[in-house]
Amino acid sequence: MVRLSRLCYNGVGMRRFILTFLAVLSMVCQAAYTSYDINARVYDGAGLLDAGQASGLKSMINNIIDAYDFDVVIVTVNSLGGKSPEIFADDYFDYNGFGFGDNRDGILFLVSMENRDWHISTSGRGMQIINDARISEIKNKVVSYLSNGEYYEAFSHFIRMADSYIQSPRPTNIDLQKGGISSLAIVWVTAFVIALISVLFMSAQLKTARPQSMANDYAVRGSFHLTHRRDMFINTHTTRMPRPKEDSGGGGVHTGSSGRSHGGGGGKF
Amino acid sequence: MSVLEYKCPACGGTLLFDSESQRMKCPYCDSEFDTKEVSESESPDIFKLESKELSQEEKAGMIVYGCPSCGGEIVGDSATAATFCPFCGNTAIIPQQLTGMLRPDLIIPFKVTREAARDALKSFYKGKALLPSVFRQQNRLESIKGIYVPFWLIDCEAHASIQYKATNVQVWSDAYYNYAKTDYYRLYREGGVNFERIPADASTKMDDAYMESIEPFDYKAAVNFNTAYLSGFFADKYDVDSGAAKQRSDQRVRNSIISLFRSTVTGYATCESVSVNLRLSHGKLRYALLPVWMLNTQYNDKIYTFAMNGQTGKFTGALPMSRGKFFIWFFGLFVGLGAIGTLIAVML
Repeated sequence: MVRLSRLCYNGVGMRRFILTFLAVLSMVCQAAYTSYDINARVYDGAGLLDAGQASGLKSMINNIIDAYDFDVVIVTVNSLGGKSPEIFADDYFDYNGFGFGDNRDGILFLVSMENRDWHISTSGRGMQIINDARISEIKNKVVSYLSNGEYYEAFSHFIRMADSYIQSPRPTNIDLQKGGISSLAIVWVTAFVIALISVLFMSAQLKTARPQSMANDYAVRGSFHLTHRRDMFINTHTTRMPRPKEDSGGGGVHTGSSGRSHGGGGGKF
Repeated sequence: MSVLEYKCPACGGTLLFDSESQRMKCPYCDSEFDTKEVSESESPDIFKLESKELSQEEKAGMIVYGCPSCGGEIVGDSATAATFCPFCGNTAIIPQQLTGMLRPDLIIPFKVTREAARDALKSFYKGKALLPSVFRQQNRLESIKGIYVPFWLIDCEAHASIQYKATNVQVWSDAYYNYAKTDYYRLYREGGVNFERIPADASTKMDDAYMESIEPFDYKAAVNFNTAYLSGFFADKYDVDSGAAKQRSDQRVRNSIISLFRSTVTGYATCESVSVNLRLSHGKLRYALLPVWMLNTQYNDKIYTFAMNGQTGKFTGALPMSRGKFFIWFFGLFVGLGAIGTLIAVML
């Protein structure tokens, strides 16, 4: 009490107290009402979009951010500066402070014209919502537009698909069937083969009366001997095959240089 | 033709060979005798009866004896060497089937009792998931017979020279290419191995697959043949000649020596034989009677046969399969594994 009253009677102390209070108040307000820079969400470094297209994408992104607190970022560059598309995309997301909430929920779509790479980086909630199966769905839809140079169509389809995924956050079986038909087929084929082998093994146990094909039990111990034994090297032959170009990589969860983990995937177009 | 019985010196009952004590035992007065002590009592008035009504073919395969105990007719086929009288149940040994060329060189006496064979059948049912549930309750043990099965024991020296071609592969890659370097080799192996006393089923009545799957017998327990061991069991003489038996054992020897040679080829990625030269020479041939319990059970008007090694207790047979259980297990495993796999796939 004594200390507080001393502070209050001291004019300088009083002013400092109020200033500090206001600063804290404004931080709290900022956290509640996240203010963000919509212009930073579409960075067209490679100049693939005209001004009208860029503002169209921005307003689509704006709607998603307002509705779901989920960040969507589109980046085009002419050079990755020596980084891999995956690392570039993850770093761009992390170091520009994208993503909402504690887990930085969001998704970033990177297009690099240097080697015609595309990459999608997911973060926070985005890692669960847009899983590998959905990444490959996006890929199937979007990459052909990229290849044809229809960048605006590619990005707008990407944003619309991201929107619909956020609305049904749990990947359903239908998604799996569309995107992960191969993985489900592998699961069931494997189950079929294991089940078949198991029951065939069980039925084989019913009949133990089988002819013996060998006479090893009756070989006189120590009587097996080799009089000649020769291993001759004849020739050698080396083949050389060009390494296949990596089409798609960077799936699964990985940790970027900032220490945050990302999902996603990418490839060439 | 005479039929043999071993009479108990104490009470005159018919002596039987007892697998547990490995001695002759009288089932009436419990007296026990060594197999060498007992003397054969051949009834002098034994006669061979020939039935008039049977066809020539049937007669050829069938021989009728008079029982020395009760005089009843004992019908055997041309291979029967020891059997039982259907009227008085006494054991009947026909020594003519086991003399001269037909005399076995050795015999392995029964070690496993009838009760043990019966128990082995029950434990054979255990752990068989596809066995029809009602089989255990509904099948009836039709017969359980101790049979001395004739075997040829074949000695064989095998010599082989085999050529193989083999490769080794190394793979590596640099930034632009994948490389595969294949080294080619030519290998040669020559040598031999000796086999002793490979058993070959010498009875046409016995299924070769059953006889081979209750192998091996332990020849250390083999003894010189003595008809006394047959008392209380069935016995057949051989009706497969040694030449046919050798063909079967030679096949096994060939497979064995090829696999033995292949095991000397190590350190290669692939290996296949280019030429195989085998030379087999047969040594001693022995004729043996080996102990086998044969069990028959009936289920749904079908007979199921089981065989047990009368020395080691090794059991073999063929059980029926329940189609229903087969499909239940198959679909259960398929759906169960598939569901777990899908769940994991969805979670990932």
